[in-house]
Amino acid sequence: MTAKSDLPQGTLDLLILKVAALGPVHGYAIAQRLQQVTRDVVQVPQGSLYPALHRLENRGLLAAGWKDTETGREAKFYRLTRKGRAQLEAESASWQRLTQAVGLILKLSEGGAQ
Amino acid sequence: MNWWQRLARRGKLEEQLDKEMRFHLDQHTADLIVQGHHPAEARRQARLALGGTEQVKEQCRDARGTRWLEDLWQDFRYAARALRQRPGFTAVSAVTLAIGIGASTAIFSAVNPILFEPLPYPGASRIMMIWDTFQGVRCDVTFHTYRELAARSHSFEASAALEAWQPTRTDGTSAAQPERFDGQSVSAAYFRALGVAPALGRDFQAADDRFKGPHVTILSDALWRRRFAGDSAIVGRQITLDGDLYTVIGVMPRGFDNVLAPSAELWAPLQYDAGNVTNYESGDWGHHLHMVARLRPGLGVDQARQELNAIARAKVGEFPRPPFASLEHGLLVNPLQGEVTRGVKPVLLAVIGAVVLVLLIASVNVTNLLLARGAQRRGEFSMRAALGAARSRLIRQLLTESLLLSFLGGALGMVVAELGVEALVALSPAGLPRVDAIAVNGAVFAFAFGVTALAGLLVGLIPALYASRADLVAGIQQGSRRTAGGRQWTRRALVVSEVALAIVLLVSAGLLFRSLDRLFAVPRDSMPRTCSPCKCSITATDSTTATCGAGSSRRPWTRRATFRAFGRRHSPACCR
Repeated sequence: MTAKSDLPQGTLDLLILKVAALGPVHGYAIAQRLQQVTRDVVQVPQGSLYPALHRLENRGLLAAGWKDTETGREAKFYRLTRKGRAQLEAESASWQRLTQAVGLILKLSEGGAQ
Repeated sequence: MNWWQRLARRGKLEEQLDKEMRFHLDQHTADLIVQGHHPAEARRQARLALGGTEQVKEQCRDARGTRWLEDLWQDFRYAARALRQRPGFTAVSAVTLAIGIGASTAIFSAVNPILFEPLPYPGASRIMMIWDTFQGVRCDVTFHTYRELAARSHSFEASAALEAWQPTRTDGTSAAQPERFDGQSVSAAYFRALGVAPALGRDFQAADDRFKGPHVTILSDALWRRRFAGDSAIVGRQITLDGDLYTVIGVMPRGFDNVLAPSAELWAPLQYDAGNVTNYESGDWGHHLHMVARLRPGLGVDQARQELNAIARAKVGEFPRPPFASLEHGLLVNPLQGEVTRGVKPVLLAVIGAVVLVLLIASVNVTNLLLARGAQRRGEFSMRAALGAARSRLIRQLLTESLLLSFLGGALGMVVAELGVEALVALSPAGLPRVDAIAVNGAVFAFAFGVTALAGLLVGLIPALYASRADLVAGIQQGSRRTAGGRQWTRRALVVSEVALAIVLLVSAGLLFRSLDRLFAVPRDSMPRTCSPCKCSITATDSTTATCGAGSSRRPWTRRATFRAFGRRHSPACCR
């Protein structure tokens, strides 16, 4: 079993928004999907998932409603609001910039060693 | 959903949160069972993965952003329960606070319009009063001084001289019963200087205010409604005053507050003789006129003062001056606001001081009661602290309790204030300016609210700090049976300060009573009467007018008196 990395600070919100952007989804499904997509590389703390969902709902980035799942149970589904979409775009852009910059710096140090 | 809705739907939100958590756990458990786990083991793993349902829920509640409000609501309900449990204590504390808050609110509502609110005129800060001085003491101006200043100065938009006038009406509905009114004789620009125009008819014009000019009068709204049934056909009608026919040319607006003579109900032009300048024996040279003037916009009081005093120093041939009105001692130019409150300000401030003392004593009393109660409830607080309540949380809860108590007192206090204001208005001495403006209004409510909140915090802080002091073991074991030495000390200090405050209050109340007695001992209108001989009151009938009448058709007796009192002695003896 490989060691799991912790999720960098502040990225959980971004990941939740991204998952919610694909369509209305309940909390458990978000947890599942994050787990699957990251292939268990990243530790997604289930305990922080719900506070984050409530916080995003409170800020108006997500909207929530109760609907039946395919198994017939009622669950709280979250979907992205217009504001949430804007936030997602802004945050992914900034994430891309950041990782690119970090990548460049890492490459630079390799070049320096040659 | 705003925070208020969120608070109101708290129960529903809790239910939903619970349901959401349950769904997650069930779903996870089901998945784990499918993967081949034993149901009990699956349940356990699902729980572990989520990491403590209660903690997650608590974090979700925090995420709602209304935590402080929910806590407040909880504290409030708890406080209400605690107060209900001890009705005697609650009643005594609330009534004590009600007296303090009610008294200070009532006094504030009386003092606010007099001392702090601007006078009820547009640009009130530009209205000035001008006084002659004699050896540093202020005195009224003479008509010719007024005339000279009005003609030579450029600081004012409008200036006016005025004096009391008490005409008797003889053509009332009950013809046999003449009725005397309080009124004022004023220069044509009087109402313009105040910035108020008649609501009906027209204002005085320069043509009205000349020697032997037309007999015209403007009525107050109250007189118009009382005696003429608010009939708008009054303008142009004639009424008999002091035996002469006066034409009513206007009615002042309803809200017009004539601070210079609150009881005045009708006005007539001054109509002094401007031509008789060198007859220094004439009544026109008597120091018996108030002078008001409105500064031009943008001009300061100091500029006006300098200009008028420059005029006073530079005598010109066109305006001769007798030795007793030489203006050599300079002129005073003061804002009307200060002039109106000049006599009553120190007394009113002393009354406020007294009432603040009453409030303080009430607060100290309630503080003491709360301290005693805190000692009784020591066990309760220790228990709460032991269960994990932070000290700040305990203090917040106790402050909520004392605030609730003070607002209970505040609500009762408003009743006290309402009654107090009625009593104050009914008992107010005749000389108190702006009595009509005394009422419980928005500003008064705001004041009462502020005082109440302050009292609540003041009263609750010391008991809260003491009760929340962490001494868990002793607190739980001994509960209410022992009082710590420290608290004894505080309570003694409180009793001492209470007695000290009471003594200060007693002494100042005695002094206050003396000053009030002196202040209102002499009947007067809103301004200090500088010339008491002017305020002679005779019920003028045709015969007295005939006996006294000489020169002017109005105020014959008054003119004579002025003449005798001041003309002969050739010095402003009326100054005081």
